[in-house]
Amino acid sequence: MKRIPFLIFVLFLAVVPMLAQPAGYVLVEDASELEEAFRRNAASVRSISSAFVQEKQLAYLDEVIESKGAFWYRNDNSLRWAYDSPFHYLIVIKEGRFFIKDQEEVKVFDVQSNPAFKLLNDLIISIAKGSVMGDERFELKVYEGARDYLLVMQPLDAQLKQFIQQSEVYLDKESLLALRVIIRESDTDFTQISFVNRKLNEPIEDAVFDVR
Amino acid sequence: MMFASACWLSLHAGPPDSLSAGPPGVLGAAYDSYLYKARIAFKEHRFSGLVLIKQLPSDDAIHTVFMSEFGLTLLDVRYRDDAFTVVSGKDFLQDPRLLKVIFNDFRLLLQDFSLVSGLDSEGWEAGEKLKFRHLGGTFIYRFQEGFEVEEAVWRRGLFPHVRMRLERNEERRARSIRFRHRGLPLTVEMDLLKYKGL
Repeated sequence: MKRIPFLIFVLFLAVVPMLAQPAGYVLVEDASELEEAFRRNAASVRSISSAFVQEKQLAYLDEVIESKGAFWYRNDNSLRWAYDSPFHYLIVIKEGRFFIKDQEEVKVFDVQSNPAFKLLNDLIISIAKGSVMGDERFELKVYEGARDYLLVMQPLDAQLKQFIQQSEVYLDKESLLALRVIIRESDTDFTQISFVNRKLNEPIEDAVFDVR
Repeated sequence: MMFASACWLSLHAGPPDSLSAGPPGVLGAAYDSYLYKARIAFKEHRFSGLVLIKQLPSDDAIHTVFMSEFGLTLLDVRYRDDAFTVVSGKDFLQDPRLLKVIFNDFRLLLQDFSLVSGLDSEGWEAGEKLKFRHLGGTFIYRFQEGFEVEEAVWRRGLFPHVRMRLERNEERRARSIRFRHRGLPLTVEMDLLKYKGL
């Protein structure tokens, strides 16, 4: 009888690696070709505009907090990330500066001289472009599904580890652009950002990146 | 002797010393959650984020979760059995002095009046002011009919340490909450984004 708990333990250990692979996805053993395709694709992106839905899930509190907004990206490293509902909050990145507008107050940070904002700047832009591969701050695994690729990123950087347990980026197989991103802080606490009505390589006026 | 003590306890414990049918909390008795946009000003620094106040009957607690607009959880504080504890939090928010300020502020808002020993159950019905001593401090709540609190003060000694002001919307829910602190250049402003009833 004493062997039964031990057997269950061994079975559990055997099952854990299988559970680690997301259902419906197969691990891509050699991702170098894909990595090259992602890189080429990211280089061809001149602009993206998209609406987004952000869902903060606090499973242990049985609570989902939904917010909505839109973003615009242009390949001169300009980005406008705006929340419209249920609150207004705006982030604009342009010309090496990071602007935050909350109500009528605007704060400005120099990206290069501020490591935290450099980190945030790089992360937002690489997620928006779908160019997260090759980022050495993460240990990366690529999985292939029927319609999309899943990039599972675990932070190696100590600063990032404080905030993110794991990040998952779902990339459309055709366009190789991010469909949704999940940022996990713990097993029961994560944020999912889904992109909808995306437009690629359409001209974006300079005025879009004005802080207004 | 033991029997006599037991009789005395059964006569003197419970409702006469505590408020069995006292006012609901400042936010009301029956709610699932309140979501606020928060702005914090400390000296010349400005921070913003979201604050979720969530009743969790399974935990017999009220959780206050501080988040960034991006959804990142910064601090989760639990109020249970009349005590605040940190469930989880980023390192930079774990400063005991900061936590003390947060606990004092949110005690004014979340205090369970049924746990205040010796509270006069007539006091809150008759007047427009509820005053009591609790945990070494004095609490004063000024309210309208139906215990709609407009202002609350927590003080130690003569002067208020924390002052909380509330404005209510048409549904009489706390639309805006403002905390001010004596001797501390800190203000906390919270504006209601979403209310979820039971």
